[in-house]
Amino acid sequence: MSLPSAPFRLPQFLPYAALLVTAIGCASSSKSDVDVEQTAALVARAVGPELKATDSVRVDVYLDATVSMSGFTVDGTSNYSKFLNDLESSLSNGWKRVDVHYWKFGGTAREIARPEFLQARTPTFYSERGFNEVTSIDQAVGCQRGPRMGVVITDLFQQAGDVNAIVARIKAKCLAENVAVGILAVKSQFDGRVFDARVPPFAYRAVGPDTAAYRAFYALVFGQPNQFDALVQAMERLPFVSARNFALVSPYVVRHYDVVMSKGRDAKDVNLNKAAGPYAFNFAVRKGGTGGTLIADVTLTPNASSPPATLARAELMAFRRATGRQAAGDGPPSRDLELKQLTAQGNKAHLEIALDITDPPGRYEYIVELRAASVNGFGVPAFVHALSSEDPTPTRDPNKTLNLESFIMNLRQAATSQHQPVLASWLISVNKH
Amino acid sequence: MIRNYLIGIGGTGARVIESVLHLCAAGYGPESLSMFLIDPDQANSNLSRTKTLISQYQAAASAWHDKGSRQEARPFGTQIKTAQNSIWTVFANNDVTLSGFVNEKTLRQSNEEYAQLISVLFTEAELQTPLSRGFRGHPSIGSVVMSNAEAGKESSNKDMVPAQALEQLWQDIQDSNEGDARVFLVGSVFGGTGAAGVPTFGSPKMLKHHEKAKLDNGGSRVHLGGALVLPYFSFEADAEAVKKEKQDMYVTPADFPIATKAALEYYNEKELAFDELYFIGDSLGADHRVGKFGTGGKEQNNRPHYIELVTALAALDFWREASVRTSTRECFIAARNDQTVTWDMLPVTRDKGQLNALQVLLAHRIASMTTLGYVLNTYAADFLNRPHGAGENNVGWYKDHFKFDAKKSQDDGKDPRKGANFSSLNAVRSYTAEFVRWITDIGALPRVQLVDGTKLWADDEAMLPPLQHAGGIGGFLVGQARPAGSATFNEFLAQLNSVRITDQAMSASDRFLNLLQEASDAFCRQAYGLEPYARR
Amino acid sequence: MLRKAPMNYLAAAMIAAVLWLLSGLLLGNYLADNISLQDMTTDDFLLRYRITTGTASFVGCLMCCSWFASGAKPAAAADPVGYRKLWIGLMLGEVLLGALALIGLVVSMLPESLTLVNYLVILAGLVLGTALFFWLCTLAMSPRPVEAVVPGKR
Repeated sequence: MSLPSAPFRLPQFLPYAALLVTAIGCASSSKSDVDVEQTAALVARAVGPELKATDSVRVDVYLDATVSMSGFTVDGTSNYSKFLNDLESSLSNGWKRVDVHYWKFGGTAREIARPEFLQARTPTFYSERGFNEVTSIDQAVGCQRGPRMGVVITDLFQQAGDVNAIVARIKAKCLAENVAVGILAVKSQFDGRVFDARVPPFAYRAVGPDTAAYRAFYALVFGQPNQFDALVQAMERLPFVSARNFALVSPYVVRHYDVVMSKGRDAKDVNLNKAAGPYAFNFAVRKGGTGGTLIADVTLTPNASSPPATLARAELMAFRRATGRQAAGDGPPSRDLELKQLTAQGNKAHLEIALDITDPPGRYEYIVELRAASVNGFGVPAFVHALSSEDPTPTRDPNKTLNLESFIMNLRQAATSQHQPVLASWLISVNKH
Repeated sequence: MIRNYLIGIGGTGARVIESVLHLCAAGYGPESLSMFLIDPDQANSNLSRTKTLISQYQAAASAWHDKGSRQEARPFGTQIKTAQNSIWTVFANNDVTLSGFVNEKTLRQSNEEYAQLISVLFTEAELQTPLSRGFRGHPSIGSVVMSNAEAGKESSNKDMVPAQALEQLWQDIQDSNEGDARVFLVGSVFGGTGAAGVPTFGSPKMLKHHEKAKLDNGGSRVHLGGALVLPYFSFEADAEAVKKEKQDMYVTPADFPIATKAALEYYNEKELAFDELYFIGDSLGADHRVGKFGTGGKEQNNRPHYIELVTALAALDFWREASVRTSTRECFIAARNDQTVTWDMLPVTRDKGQLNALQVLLAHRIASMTTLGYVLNTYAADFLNRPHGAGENNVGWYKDHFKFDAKKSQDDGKDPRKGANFSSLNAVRSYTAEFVRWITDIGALPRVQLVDGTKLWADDEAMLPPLQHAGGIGGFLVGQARPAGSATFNEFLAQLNSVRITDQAMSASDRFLNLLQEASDAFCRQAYGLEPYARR
Repeated sequence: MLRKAPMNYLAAAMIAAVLWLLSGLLLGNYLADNISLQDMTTDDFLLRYRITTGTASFVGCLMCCSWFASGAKPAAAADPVGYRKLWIGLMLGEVLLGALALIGLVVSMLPESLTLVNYLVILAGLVLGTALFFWLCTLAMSPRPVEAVVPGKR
């Protein structure tokens, strides 16, 4: 007898019921996604808060009136003279309304009118007693919040001890207020005496077309970090001004970053869960386990004007926080996550992070920050290295600036000590079973 | 106490008793019924068959003793009582003649006038023909003999055997109140034994107003009924057989009308003691050949006829209505509407109000018993031939009701295949096979549209296997409500699977039979649209 | 009552859903807590696992319903041997379904280097929704003509 046929009649509701049941089971998420605000807060740790650029600004321009600056005038035809002449119009390009105040400083400082400011193109400006003897840049350093910038035009340092003094002043008055400091180097013709050297002042003349022989003068800029882009763009209109000769010392050294996380191949007790956001990653530690190796691949888009961060020396900090809390109000640093190894190539860092949770099973959240090293965390900008000398003499580096590199690096270090820059920040959630 | 009695006289009486037995087996009979037959032709195949059938019925009824809580229309529900010898064969030996019976030789010497009277009344052939094969269609011979019937263990006539059955009858009559002994006689008016016996036992002094039966108030303990069966069949004329019997007395179909006329005249003139008399016949007789020619003995083996069924229905009507007494004489008549015999023309009752209900009940009971017999002898027989754990036995009704371990000898009592269970099932199976044979033979007669045996039988011996001929079980009853063949054996199995018997004390054979019976009942209700009574 | 349509169909669907909850959710959660994956996230693994077990359960339920439909025919009672073969065939089909589902999962997750215990648990989940489900439902809810055909029916 042949096998009876098995005709199939499907009740109509059955496919829908099955789909519904499958969908209910599959469409589940035990972890809440990180919302936009939390993501913005995480990112702001590295790139800084998003501040709205202002339409108006007050700029206080301090001009170094010491005798060493007179060499830049060169009959009023030098780049320095042109810089002074076009400064205000340049500033006007960066904002709708610019309120410029001029100051003359040396041993002391006083506000001057613009016509007197323009006298700086002639040597007589630099012969006033009380101003021409010594450069007390600390007189010109004054950082205030809000739409206000300070520009100090100087040739920097007469004595070696000036570096520490200036840095200390800047740190105290500006960096502590989260105000950024920018240094714009402008190369100009020079015909005068060089005083910032370890040797007695010597004469130096560079007025020909060879710009390599020119000496640099500097515009120290103080202001909110979001104002510098407009300033540099405004000044770049001058042909002898280049953004490549601009160094920014700011609490925020990256413009953007990306993080991709995975688990180490030997991390048997750890599983990667679905990410809750672009900077929020979920892991699970299975029963009986305490953790394993996590892998983070970080790609930085540094701020172009910042000194390059030495990625290989970067440090990892993890802060445990209660689940659901905002980024502000983190807990103390946690040792549950520790950096095992960091390999850097260009702006990319490959991190191996050891996860070890000895606490009872539960859900743990960590804010992880990749920070620039607290010591020697940054490299020297190329232009600084080119313009700096530890011992300029008439025969060697006569046009270079004494201890410029030291100044910049100390400044960067002071900023770091005030606020260790965060290169990248993200959230790791661990569900320990 | 009411006692029902059926006395079948002669060949026709035996045939009617068969029909009564089958109706009782189907659950259509009374609660109890005593019966016996009167026929000197001991070798008559009809008689032997009836005797055997009585034994089979009693064996089947005894085997199937627990029918659960079923109260109505119980199969084998009628208790059939018989004496030790259910047949009164009349004569003590085979060579008794009428001459010898009346002691003609002695009479010629002692009383010549009586002897001459005998010569006038009877021909030489009638006087000298051995009566071992009955009265050869000469009721005059029979009446002389029958009127000497005596109850008891000994007879005053050395040529007669005492009628033990009559002894029991008289005991029952003497224990009855007025009219409670309901005695029904059946015989033909065209034969010999029946034509003689019915009027003889119907005469007042023989039964109704016998000393033992009459009451002081002029009434009688006996309520007497009778069925006179008029010619209803023919048989095949065989020239060789007729030539062989040429010297003997025998009856032929040509004799029937004359004999019937004479008998009816006698009944009209004679004041017999019947309270109710049924005359039953059919003009279709010439077409209904029930067998070959034979003068009696083994040669007389007639196939069943629907008139015998009708006569049995008359007997059942008699017992059903016996308690109804009327002072006025009433006549009832029932007839076919046309040349066909169908279920709705069977005269099941004189009560018009009950006519349709009883016809439906009759059809349902016969259909149900036929179904039961068919299934028992085919599907169930194959089922029981297979071992308990056989794959083909993996059906719900069986597994639910027969849970035992066939390997354990202590569970043998639960196996319907073994021991007393098997014997009981065989007893019922063999009877129901006879039932199916009986009803399909009736249905095979021309123009009788009751049952179509071709749906059930492959040939004379074997029934059609229901699994391969699934439509047969739903198509054998002619004139059914549903189109033939639409109810199949699969639907029967569905009914079987839906039956539940919870009585754990019931024997395996009873449970087996009750399952099939319940399923048969339900199937026939559904398949043939027969609703005889409110379902339990 | 459970042996008649549409109750047996509905009940089978319910049982399939409940068993999938056990295999897909409970067992799935157990796997998620204990499994060690290489590159795949736990959520992806669970999704794949649950879809596989859900699909296997769905197809298994269809096969069970086909048994109900076939066994409800009156002719079924007349052929217990044939329907026993049909039941065995469907049961083998359920087993094959589970095996194919397991093979599919194994092949798709070979890089994840799951352990033998993980695969055994997955297999248990699949068996729950296919073979075991089929046997339970046919044992308890087969139509009357074929209820005795199911192995284990007493």
